[in-house]
Amino acid sequence: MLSFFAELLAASAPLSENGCPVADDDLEKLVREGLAFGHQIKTAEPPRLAAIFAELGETELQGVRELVQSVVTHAGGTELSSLTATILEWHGNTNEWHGLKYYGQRLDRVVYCADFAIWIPWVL
Amino acid sequence: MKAINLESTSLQHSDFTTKEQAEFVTRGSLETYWRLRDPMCAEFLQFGSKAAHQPAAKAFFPFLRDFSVLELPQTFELFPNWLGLAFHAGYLFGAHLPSEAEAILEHNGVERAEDLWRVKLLKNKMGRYRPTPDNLYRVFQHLCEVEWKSEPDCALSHAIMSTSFGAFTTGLATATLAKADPFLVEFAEQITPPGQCLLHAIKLAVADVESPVGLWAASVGVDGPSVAQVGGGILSEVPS
Repeated sequence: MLSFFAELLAASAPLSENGCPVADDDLEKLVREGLAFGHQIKTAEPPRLAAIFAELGETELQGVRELVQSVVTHAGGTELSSLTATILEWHGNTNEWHGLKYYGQRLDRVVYCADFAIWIPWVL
Repeated sequence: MKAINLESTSLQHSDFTTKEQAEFVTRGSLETYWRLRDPMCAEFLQFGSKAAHQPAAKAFFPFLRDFSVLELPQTFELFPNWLGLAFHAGYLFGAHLPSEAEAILEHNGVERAEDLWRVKLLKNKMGRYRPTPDNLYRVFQHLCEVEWKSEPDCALSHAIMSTSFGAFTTGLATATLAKADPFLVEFAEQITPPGQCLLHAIKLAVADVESPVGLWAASVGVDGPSVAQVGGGILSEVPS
């Protein structure tokens, strides 16, 4: 996750520490970048991915697999706007994201959405 | 300033810089680090410049700064969140750096006694329940209801800042002094901080306690100011 965000932020002009793109409109791009990053790791660094899976354990991994599968199925595939909306809906219900009030909460949402997107190519 | 070993972490120099870090590199000024435009940071730095508070204030400021960056609102509703975060930040600091935490607590005997008193208060309020983050949140919520509910909005900001600082030093005492106290040790051993923010974990692991600004500066690939450069102490550099 850290290397994903470092790459993403390094590619843009310096942002204020209060100015990361966290609006609803920014999340679709984030999910696209997350999917691409996940694919890149899966293709170029299989040992790294295997280490992550091993650390997680088979039971947890199966849970992630089922969760990701259900969200992607519910979204009707990986078309960006539908997938982003479904990820947001799932996270909103899970984390009680109703009426985000401050930057830190919106930043949290960015991290969770990116995390979810990265896992999609890993487990499907 | 002690060297900051970033090699042991996945954080590498120059991955990206924020506008604030870029300004530091260009102007050599730490103004953006202090976040003086945020009244909470400005007030805390004034408070922390007093000799009695300095060591603890140096340790707490990076956390307060993060609260400022994340724009955590200073409202009564979120007061218990502030206290819980500050308490666990102090606990993690003390658990990772016990000798530094004890030195901070030894610096001010009165505050040290107050911190231990507050640990006892938390333990008593917890009763037979374990001090999980959720249970501590409920205790902080109760304390806020009792102590601060009638506080006017204009005074709430100061109350949140100063009480959070107290919660931080109480966390320091819980992770250190309380573990040597037969009455408190069980409570102290049961503290389980919530999911640790990676950045804080890295800070605690590698940052020089005397120069918490060091990591912030090192992340843009330059050395942070030495203690001597900032006049013998970070807080003394802050303009009045």
